[in-house]
Amino acid sequence: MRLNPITKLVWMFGVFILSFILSNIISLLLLLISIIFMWFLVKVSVRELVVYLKSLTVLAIFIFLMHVLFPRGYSLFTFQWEGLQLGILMVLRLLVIILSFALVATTTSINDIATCLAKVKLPYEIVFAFTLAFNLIPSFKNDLDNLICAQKARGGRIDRGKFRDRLRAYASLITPLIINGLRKAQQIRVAMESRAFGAFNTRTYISTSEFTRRDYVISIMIMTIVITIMIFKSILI
Amino acid sequence: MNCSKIFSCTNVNKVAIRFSNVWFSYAGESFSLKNINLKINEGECIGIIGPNGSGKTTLAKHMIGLLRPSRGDVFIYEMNTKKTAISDLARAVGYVFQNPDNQLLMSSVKEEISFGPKNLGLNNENIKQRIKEVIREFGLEQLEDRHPLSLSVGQRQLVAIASVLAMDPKIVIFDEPTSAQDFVTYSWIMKVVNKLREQGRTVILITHHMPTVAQYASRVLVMHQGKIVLDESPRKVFTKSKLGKYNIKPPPITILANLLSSYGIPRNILTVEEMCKVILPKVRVHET
Ligand SMILES: Nc1ncnc2c1ncn2[C@@H]1O[C@H](COP(=O)(O)OP(=O)(O)OP(=O)(O)O)[C@@H](O)[C@H]1O
Ligand SMILES: [Mg+2]
Repeated sequence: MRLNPITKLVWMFGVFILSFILSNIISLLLLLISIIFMWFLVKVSVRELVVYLKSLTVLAIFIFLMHVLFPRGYSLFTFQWEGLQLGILMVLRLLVIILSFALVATTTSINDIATCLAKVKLPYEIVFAFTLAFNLIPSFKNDLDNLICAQKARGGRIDRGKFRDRLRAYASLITPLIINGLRKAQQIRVAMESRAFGAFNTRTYISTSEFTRRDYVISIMIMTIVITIMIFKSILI
Repeated sequence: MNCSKIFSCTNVNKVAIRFSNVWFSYAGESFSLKNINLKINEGECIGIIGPNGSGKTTLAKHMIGLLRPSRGDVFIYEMNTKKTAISDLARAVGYVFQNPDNQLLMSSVKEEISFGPKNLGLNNENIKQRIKEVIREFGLEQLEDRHPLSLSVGQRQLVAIASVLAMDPKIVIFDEPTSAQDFVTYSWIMKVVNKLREQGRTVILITHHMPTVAQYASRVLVMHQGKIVLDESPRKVFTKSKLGKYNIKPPPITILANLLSSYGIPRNILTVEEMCKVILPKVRVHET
């Protein structure tokens, strides 16, 4: 089942809003379970989920301890039920937000988002620059790794020694990195022009990324749920 | 040309590089090296060939510790690469990258060449002396103050090689040094390789150009899908019938020799010179 990226974004922001207006542990837990359920539903490998959870543990533990050890309105290190509750609440919020964002990020290619942006009549030049910038990040990282390797291979001690020397070693990478980057940009420009970028005002798209009836239904459902919960919350309070 | 003749006087038994049951995978990928066992003696000239993506560069990067085995060990002169810093391994091993642009770091040719020697902690006099020699040897006098990245591809490659050799390494690894070079630069680079061999250094030469391997290597490693599938002299390797299976074609002159074998030409000819030696007497006989 392929959803339109915009539907996914609607879902993500819906989850964001819910995670902020819900303020008891049970409901946030339910929200989190629904997200984990989604992970399995879209068949992203469990390993990826584990990677995200692992990288979050330190931050989660830190946030939890902060709330337990320094409860609001009390002196330090006095154990309070509220502190514990708030700690759990905050950790759940963190997990909900990061995992829903990660799910959208892993299942949506930047090109899909670009197509959507073009659909809402953003000038294609801008959309293209946006995707290009995203796609260049790995290549930039690659260049940086290569330069560090090159330093090491000639006896450079970029990862050892005095802080000042290391700083200088890193600073010396900036020039070649920028020159290589500019050179790449220029090559891309030539490559684009030689393949007739911008020659016609009307451009065809391969992936049309239709906003189907299913997308409408799901988006409206999500919005309804979120708004209903918002109204209920405000009545109860 | 014959490597074994040149090195009969050097100590052939000293092991320069040793791989023991080496497996390697890039993060999350399948294995790019599969159970590599390899011993390279000091003074050997090793040609590494194999199709794109077969693991040549990955293997070479293990020889200087830029990559470390996922399983198994690599030893450079009995230093385990897992336990030695690259900057220490760099005293023994020089590595010329596949793409010179990845390797040029400084803002002038002169600084580029002095980067390595400075890291070795030589004294100033020594460094100056060495840089001068290398610059003269590579004919870079006119380019001394240019920015390395402003040079032509061939000049950049020469600067990259010069800056590695300025460190005086015992083992030199060339990863496709001649792939984008014209004939002049090619001959220049191969002259350098020859000189290194004559000095008794260990040379590792990765290339897709079979005549080069046939002429210069004393031993050839054929890589295929992360494994070393053949490890023999060029003469033996290039007459193997299963080369096609590994997507390798022998040098044109060897193919020609094969086609002419019914005329009494030996199949294991590797160079044009050898062919001439065999064929000229026959032609003369025919003429008279
Ligand atoms: N940085 C990397 N990250 C992930 N995989 C890599 C990386 N570099 C190489 N590989 C993979 O490892 C395998 C071996 O690559 P390697 O670069 O060693 O091949 P090669 O024989 O040098 O090829 P070529 O002749 O094209 O230079 C390939 O399948 C390649 O996709
Ligand atoms: Mg390679």
